[in-house]
Amino acid sequence: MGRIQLGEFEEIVMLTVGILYDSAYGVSIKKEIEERQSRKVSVGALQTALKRLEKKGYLKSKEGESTKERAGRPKKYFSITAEGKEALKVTRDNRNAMWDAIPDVSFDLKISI
Amino acid sequence: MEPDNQHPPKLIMAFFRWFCHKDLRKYVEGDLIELYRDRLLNRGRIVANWRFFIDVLLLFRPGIIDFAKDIYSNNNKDMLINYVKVGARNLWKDRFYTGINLFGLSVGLAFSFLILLLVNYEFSYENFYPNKEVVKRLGVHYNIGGKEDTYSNVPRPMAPSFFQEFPEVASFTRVAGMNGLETHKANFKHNEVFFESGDVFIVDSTFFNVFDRTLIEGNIKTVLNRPNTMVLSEGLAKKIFGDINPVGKSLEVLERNKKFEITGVFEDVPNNTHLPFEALVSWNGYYDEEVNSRWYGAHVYSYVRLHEAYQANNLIEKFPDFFNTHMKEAFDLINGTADLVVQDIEDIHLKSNLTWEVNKNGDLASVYVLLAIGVFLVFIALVNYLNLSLARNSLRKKEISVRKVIGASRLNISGQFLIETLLFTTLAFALSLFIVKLIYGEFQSIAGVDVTPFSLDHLMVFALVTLSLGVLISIYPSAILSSIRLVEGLKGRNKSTRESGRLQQGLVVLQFAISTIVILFTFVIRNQLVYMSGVDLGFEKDNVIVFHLEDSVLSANSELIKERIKTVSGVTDASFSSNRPGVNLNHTILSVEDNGEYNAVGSQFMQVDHDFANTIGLQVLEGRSFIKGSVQDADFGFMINETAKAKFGWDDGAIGKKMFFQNDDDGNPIYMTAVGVFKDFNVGSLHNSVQPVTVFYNREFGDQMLVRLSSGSHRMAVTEIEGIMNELSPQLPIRHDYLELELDRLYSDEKRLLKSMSYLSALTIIISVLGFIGLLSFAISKRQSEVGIRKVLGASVGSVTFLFYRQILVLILAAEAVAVPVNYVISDQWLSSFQYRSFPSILELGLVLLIIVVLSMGIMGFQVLKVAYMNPVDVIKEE
Repeated sequence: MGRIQLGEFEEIVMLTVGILYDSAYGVSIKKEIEERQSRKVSVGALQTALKRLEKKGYLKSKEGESTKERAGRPKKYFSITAEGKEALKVTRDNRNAMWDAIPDVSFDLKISI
Repeated sequence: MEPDNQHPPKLIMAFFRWFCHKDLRKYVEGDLIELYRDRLLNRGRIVANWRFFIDVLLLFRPGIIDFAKDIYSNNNKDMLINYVKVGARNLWKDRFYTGINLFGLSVGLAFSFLILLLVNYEFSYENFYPNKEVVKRLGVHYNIGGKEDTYSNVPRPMAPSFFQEFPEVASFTRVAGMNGLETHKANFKHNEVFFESGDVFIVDSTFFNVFDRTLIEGNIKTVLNRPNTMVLSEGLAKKIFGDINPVGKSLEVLERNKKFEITGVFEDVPNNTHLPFEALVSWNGYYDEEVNSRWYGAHVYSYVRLHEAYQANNLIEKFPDFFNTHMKEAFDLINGTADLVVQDIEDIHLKSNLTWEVNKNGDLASVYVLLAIGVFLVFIALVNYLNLSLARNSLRKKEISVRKVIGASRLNISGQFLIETLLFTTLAFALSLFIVKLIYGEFQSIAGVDVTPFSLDHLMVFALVTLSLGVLISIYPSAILSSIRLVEGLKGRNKSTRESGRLQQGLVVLQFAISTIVILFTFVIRNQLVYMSGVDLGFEKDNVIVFHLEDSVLSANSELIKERIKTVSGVTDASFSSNRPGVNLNHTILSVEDNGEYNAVGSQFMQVDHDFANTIGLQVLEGRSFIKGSVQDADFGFMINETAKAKFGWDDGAIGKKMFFQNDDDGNPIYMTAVGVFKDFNVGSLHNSVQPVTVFYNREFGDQMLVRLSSGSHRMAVTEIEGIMNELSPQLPIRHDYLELELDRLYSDEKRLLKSMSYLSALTIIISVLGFIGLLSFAISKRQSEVGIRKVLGASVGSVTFLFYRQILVLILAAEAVAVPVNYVISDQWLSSFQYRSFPSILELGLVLLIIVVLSMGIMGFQVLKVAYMNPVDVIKEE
């Protein structure tokens, strides 16, 4: 496995897929991110990210049911693969390691003066 | 089945399906539909459609787009890419021609975009009234004692009587300017702060039944019912009261020295209307009953709302009876007749131009001129493109033949040229947007309106039009090129050059003719303006300053102020009057003596003091001017101008002749005696001839003070005069203006036209000369080897130059020959609106033509000379 690279938005998408567990498809992911992050997500950006993540092997998808409000179009459900989980973990570890490396002083600067 | 209206817009969906990756399509489509319905339910169709459009637009990105994965795909994508590539290479290969074309087309597009927006704006007047077809303005045409005038206003009782007597009239409103007819602006005071407003009118309570306006505050049915109430526009309310709701508050109107209660706020009126209003005052109780029942004169604008638009004719048909019942009595006294005029409100701005329009009308002729030039600009630029691509494409016959050999159909070849042209137009479009951005500030200052070129609607239309023009100009070249025969093309035989050459020449001539017409016409306008500024108006307009004594304190003390002003150093003379040159005069009916009988004759009139003639430099031809302080002159004396003298039939000498126009308390006419005759002077613009003017003596007050200053700096004197006026502590601010500037403003339309025409004529000629250069340099490059051989055989520089110039000169002369008569017709049309006109002499026009020819030949000369001086070895060795 090569170097793990996960963009900020990709990471959020992956995490959201994780949160939604077995009901993660386009609209639900979009709404979840918009709710949690209070930012607008365009369908285009989301679909591009999903496609890229699937291509990287971090996500896998299966065709779901087609409902009336979708005018008969099927949903595409996503779930995290083992590699995906690994990638998320590595990203978090890297992040944590960097957090830990920050000396306390740099946050407490104001008080110490 | 689900209801049909839950589907997102089909066109956008089709676009999405077209570009979307096949594997993703059904899922993303599902997502989109789900989101769409969600938004439809929660936020309405407009938001849903808009967001859907944005979503699809944002989906148009590399990760999602995939045209070619269809099973049925015939690998069109690569072919299309190849077309674009070849097109781009061709454009780059001939960068000189591409540059010329691109510059010409994008400048042409940019300017005509702006011009057409402006024209569109001029034609959009009153469009915002949803019921504009059924709203009509009433006017009257009076023939009184032989003086005919058409007024945009009518007697006060007319509109209400129409409403009562004619079932066609659904509603009516009278509209009277706050300050009489000349200006409608008013001054307000609130919390000791002064505000000057835009137009303010006194209107009937039914105003909003005729003119649809949404009320933000107040009840539309009752706002103007009570006396002493008024409604403000949203903008004015905000300016005066800030964010506080003004309803129930009162506002002092300085013109009336009275407070009015505000009962409502209406949404701001757009600029594109002949009747802009910022505040409306209730008619109820504003005027005396007697004033409201006068059947003569023409005092108020009156509008009616009909049930159906065609009923306007019914009103005109019924008017003679109406006249007999109501107006005949009054009009028989003054030997007058009246006809009704019913105008569509949307026509008023450009086509009306009656006496006492609410605001200065637009000029239909200028709008058409601009429209024509807007179209010409694009046309000229397109001709350039067409010509150059025709010329260049003849070099590409080999490429096309090879494509055909490999199996390209005619359709493919046409498609290729279409794509190349579209590529080019897209470039030009982008560049023209940039140019629009650059010039918009200047454009706005000349045009005086914001036509919002960057609004989404306008941009869409612009893009669409540009695109269709691109398609249009690709038709001819692609038809010609796709029809070439294989063998001929491969052998490189040029059979069709001459035919297309003739077309090119025709187009160039047409193009050059148009530019010449534009230039000549600009010259005619300039000539007319110069001529008008030199016409002897009958008085001296320079160094005269007009102080407006709108304030009642000031106008009541006119004589006192005048005597003090005369002592100011630098003041040569001063005079107060009721009128001045540069504004419309009031009209009246006089009964003038004619061999012992008295005939009613119409005349304009003005009231002035005894210093008037001296102050503005009027010449007294017969008799004398008014004598200072003479009660006799004020009550029983008057002066006339030469035109009036002729019209009154007093050719045998006017002095001592009598006339009357009003009666004393016992009902006997007050006879007045002519004391003097002025040399004719022009009061209004030179569009009109000199009108008969009767001048009365007012020795006490006037609402303006004319001050003649000695030449030099006037600042000190003006400050001192203002000081004198301020000592009387006027309520209203003192305004002053130069008489010369006021007169100048009469021609503001013509000046604007001249300014825009100067820019445009420069543009058209540049673009057509560019086209010429392109064509010429192409012709030169094709004939280089010929020139080389000629030179080897002994041709001189002169003969080679002549060889090329002869061709161009013939074309240019042909163009001029077309341009001169056409320009004559157009100019004649334009000039016919002036009573005083001057057409440039043949010599002047000839000089302009000569300059055009010499300059264009000069610019092209560089290329010709380059060829003429070249070393023949350079070209011949290439063969």
